[in-house]
Amino acid sequence: MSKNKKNSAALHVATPFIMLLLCVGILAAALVKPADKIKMLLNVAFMDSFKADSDETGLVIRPNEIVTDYEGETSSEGKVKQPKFGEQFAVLSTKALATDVPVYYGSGAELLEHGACMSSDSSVPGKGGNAVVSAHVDTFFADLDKLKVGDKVTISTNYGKFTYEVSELISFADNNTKYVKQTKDDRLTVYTCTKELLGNSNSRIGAVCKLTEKAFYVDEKEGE
Amino acid sequence: MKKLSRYLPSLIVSLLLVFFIILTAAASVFCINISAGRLSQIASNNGSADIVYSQLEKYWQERYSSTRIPAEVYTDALTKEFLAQHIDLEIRNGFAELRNIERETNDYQNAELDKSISDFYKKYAEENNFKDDEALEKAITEVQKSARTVIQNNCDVFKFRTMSQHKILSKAAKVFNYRFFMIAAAAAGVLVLMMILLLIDHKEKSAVLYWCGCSALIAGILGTLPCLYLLLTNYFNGFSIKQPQVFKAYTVAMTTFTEAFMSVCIATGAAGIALLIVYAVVTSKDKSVAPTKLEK
Repeated sequence: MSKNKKNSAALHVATPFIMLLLCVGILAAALVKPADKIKMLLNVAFMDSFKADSDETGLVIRPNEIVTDYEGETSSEGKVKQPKFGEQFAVLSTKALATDVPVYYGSGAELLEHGACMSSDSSVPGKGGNAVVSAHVDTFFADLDKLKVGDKVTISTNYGKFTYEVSELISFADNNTKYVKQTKDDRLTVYTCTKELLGNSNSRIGAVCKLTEKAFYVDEKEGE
Repeated sequence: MKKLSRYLPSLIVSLLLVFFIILTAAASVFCINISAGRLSQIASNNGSADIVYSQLEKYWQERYSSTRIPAEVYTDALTKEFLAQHIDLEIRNGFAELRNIERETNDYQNAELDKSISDFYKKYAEENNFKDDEALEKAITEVQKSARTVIQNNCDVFKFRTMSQHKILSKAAKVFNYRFFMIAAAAAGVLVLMMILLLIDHKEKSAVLYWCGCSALIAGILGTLPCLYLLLTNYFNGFSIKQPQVFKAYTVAMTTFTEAFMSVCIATGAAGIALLIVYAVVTSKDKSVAPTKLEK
């Protein structure tokens, strides 16, 4: 076999590999810019750690241990840990409610059986905007109507503790989105249904609370 | 393949061809699979109506503690056929919005369900000495309306209403309505690139087989590998919407589409290998072909 023929054969064999490498390179270069956005969207849509063992699954609910007695160093600025759908990520406390209320990220009847819910289109405490928490009136928010203007409400998470003060008591129809919309200011909106003897209630009561203090945990190990 | 002056342009055109082949495969799978009929079939084959029924039953059972309305008031008046029809209706209406055509009448009126709720309320009022007045009628109407909304939300297994509310459907409609144009454009692109290859290698036409074969093979590999990863790692099982009927509908649909795309890519890769074999046979038979050498 002549040298030229050998070269030609080698080139024929090498070309598909060269093409494959070039294509991968082009794809990688093209995806560099939108990679972060794609990654974020995929993380929202598909949570790897929540992968079900089988496809016959419902909601994956994860109760977590939330630190409420952090005594380490704190800072007014810090990093918010984005919770995952179905995960307990906070505890809500206020003197009007008899017990501390576990707060789950997400919504739905199943989650509401476990605690209060912060819907996924709400802002997470510490991130800025309107953090909206709701729960059933017959369970966790049974005494929410006892909240008064000026009352302190705290949200403890594993990355920080956020203190709010009730600034307005509210009541609104279930189809009114005025209070659950995003806002420019840092606030917490808590609400529940009004009590009805029979059937569902179409009205909601609650409170808008303004942020008075944010304390991000500096010593992350203690906050874990 | 003899000259570098022909090799480089052919290589560049073949690279473009790889992406156009992937685009054509993706557009074809998109056109065939994204239709109301296909999604209805997926919903029906995976027992969505049964799942919706169980979910509704569970929902009303959970709500009993706050509403004092037993789940049977609702579930005894519902049939799985009724739910299946409404799942289909939600899908058809979703596609109607995608096509910018009028939605079908979305009437969730179920006389039996309305009567069941009304009977329960009236009996409750009688037993507890409540007046059968306007307030009671209003409460009954509200609960009937709420039941219809709950059924409607649960039957929307592909979340078309949510997508519509978030204006995702109107954005998707812009792509969806051009899907046949997209497939035609991608296929035309493939043909044009093949013609360019033919022009570049007009002195050695069999080389076109080689370049097309390489492109098809690489397109096949590039399309198959991500699909294999998605399927082998059960990637779609991490889907964050965990409402069972939505989870099932979406994961099955996404798995089906991925399998379909992977099949097309495997077929493309196989076609590429076949073209390379044909090229090898043709060139080896052609005794007159002089030894290949790269000439600058």
